[in-house]
Amino acid sequence: MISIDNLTKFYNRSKNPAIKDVRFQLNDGEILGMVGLNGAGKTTTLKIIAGVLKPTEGTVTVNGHNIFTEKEKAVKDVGWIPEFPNWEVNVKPMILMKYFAGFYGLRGKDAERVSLELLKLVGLSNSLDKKISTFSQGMKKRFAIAESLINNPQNILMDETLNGLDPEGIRLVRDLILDFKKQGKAIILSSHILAEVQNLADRFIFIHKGSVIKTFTRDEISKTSNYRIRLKVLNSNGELTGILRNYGEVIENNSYYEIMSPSLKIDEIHIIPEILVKNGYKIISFEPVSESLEQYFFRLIGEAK
Amino acid sequence: MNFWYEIRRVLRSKFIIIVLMIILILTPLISYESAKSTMVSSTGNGGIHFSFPYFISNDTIHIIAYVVNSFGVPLDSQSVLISINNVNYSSSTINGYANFSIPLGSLKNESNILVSYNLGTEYSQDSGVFIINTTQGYSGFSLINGILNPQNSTRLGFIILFYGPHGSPANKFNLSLYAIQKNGPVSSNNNLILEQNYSLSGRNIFYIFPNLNYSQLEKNQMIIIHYGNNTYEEVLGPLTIYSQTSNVLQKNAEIYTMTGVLNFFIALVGIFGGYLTYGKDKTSGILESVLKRPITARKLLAARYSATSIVVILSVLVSGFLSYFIYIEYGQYINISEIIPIFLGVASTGLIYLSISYFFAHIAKSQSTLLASLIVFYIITALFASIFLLILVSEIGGPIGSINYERVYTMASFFFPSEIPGLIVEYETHTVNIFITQSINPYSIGLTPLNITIAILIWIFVPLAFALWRSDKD
Repeated sequence: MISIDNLTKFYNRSKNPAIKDVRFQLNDGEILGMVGLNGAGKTTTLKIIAGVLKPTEGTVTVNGHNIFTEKEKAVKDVGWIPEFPNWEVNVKPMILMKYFAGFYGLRGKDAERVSLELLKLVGLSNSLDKKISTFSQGMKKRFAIAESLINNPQNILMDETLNGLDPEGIRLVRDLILDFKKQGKAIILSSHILAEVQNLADRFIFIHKGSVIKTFTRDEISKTSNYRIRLKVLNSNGELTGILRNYGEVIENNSYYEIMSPSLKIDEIHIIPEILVKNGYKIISFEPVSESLEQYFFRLIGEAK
Repeated sequence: MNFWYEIRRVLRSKFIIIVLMIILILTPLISYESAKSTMVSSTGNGGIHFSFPYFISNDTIHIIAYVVNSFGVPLDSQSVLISINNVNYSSSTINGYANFSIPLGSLKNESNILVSYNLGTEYSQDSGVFIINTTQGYSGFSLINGILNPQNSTRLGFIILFYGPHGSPANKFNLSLYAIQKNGPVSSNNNLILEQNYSLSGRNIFYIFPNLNYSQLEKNQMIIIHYGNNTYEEVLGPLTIYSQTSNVLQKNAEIYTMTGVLNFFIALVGIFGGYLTYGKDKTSGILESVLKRPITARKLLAARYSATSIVVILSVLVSGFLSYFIYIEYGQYINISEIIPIFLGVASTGLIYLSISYFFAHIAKSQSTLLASLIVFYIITALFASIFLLILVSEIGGPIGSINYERVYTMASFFFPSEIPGLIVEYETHTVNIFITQSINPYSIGLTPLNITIAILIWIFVPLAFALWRSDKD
């Protein structure tokens, strides 16, 4: 579990803070999707949580240990997979894995065994003889995942981990995330691929211009965000549009009708198919469509502007 | 725990192995060349000296090869090869002696036997011939000339050897030493340097170190030995080179050369050791992959600094003692107690440049900026320090050679970290490195152990403290 309280970071006092008063909590067994534009402050936040960057103000507590005053205890439970991983690249992966393992008390055969298991897990067991400098972008990303899990952390911070991965790699990461969740680990998933975040995360946090503008659960998104109704009838005619307009703005698109921002609450929309049937229309499909995470995010930051 | 883990890891890195290998290869080469050139300039022969006294007893020729270095110290393991009538005999010296016992056989009828010899090591060889007088049956007096005595004011010395019948020593003899004109006769007793009765009393070898005055040094010397009714005479070459002044000068030159060579390398090890073990990782972002581990930024910096410090000190010891032994091997005279403070000074230079490298790592925004800054700093403060010093001091120091000039020069040297060992040398030799022949009182120009220690501590700990403070903030 990670608690973040009042985090503020100034890189330059004469400019705006990179993040300001960021606070949230990450619970065990939870996947938290972190969403924001480039430069919003996601990476800064994750670096502070990982213990590699000092905030100007605020605290981070990992399983009860303050990351700044008890860093050596706190980061044992944190695995940070950076967006742009950077290591000494003129070495073979096993050398680096064993070096990092040493920081967690894993030496000799134990370090070798754990390193090998992780490299196998990310699909790099056939590249042990290659130097990291020869790795492709995707292989480097896989290696970053492996080295970040060397301590079997309870809390995992993924910063744009899906970027640079091929479809197989994306599936691997997706499966890993779900597996971690099953194991009760806590995960922060920062990604520009919002569809993936939407599919995986239990809770979302929107960061914009260094501040948290919204935190909400998966259930809350369907309740709080806008929705539309999408329907198709077999015997449509000019009068149909007129009936549907009673419930909102109507858009006709390839024989589909969409009622945008219906005036009815979600539990009242059953009225519409009832009326259509009464008027002799034969309904093929009728479904409420929630606003996507992306649409919701852009609507929110539009409001935030 | 991870502090020590990081130290061990840095010490086992490729960088360390490469640095030590470079030092092990380059230091002997440079020290060898430096020792040889210092030796040539001083004409103090660093080679081997020897004599071949002999005696015949019981139809056997006993040849004694006595081999010493330029200080008259008997040498071990010098191979000696002699050849009589194309028959070779070989031996090796123990405590300076190599003994040969050769049956006279058919040589009994010859009054003179020609012996050719070859002796030394692969680095210092000598060969020639000598004659065995079978009629007399012993060599009598012989002389090893040009021996240095570091404890003697003139450093002139020679060794008298006497092997009488059946190898017996001389009982009593009178030795006179005269200063003479080149190839000229002994003109008067005014030129007498030394006259003394000696008795070898059971010994065959005698070391003599007379005191010469300066007027006598410019001339040749002649030795005359009266032994019973016999007289033994030999002319020695001019021995002006062993004056007291050149002794100190030579030693100071050696110390300045050794310090300069060591300092050049160690400053380089310090500044680029800091770049390779810390600065490069810090500015390229590689350090983040370590900082996310259970180790604080301050401990990581301290661990890497400590490990590199060990390498710097190890480099000084390895290269320093290697240079020292090469100098000694070539007959140069430097006391080990004099070079220990200099080694400390050179190690301080390394640590200063290391601290500065860490300091720069926390200022530079990129890897290339850091590298460029370090190179510029090294060029200004190490490679061309003396040039900058001369320019600076010539502006404000007054007339060259004045006490004020020396004081300003010394004070300005405190601002150039590479000059710290030079200050220690100045303190020890009582000379300023640009006026090596001119003796100074170090205290009169502000050169005290306290000032040097304070300068070292400030140069090492101020940049390091800044780096540690920044590492905690970043």
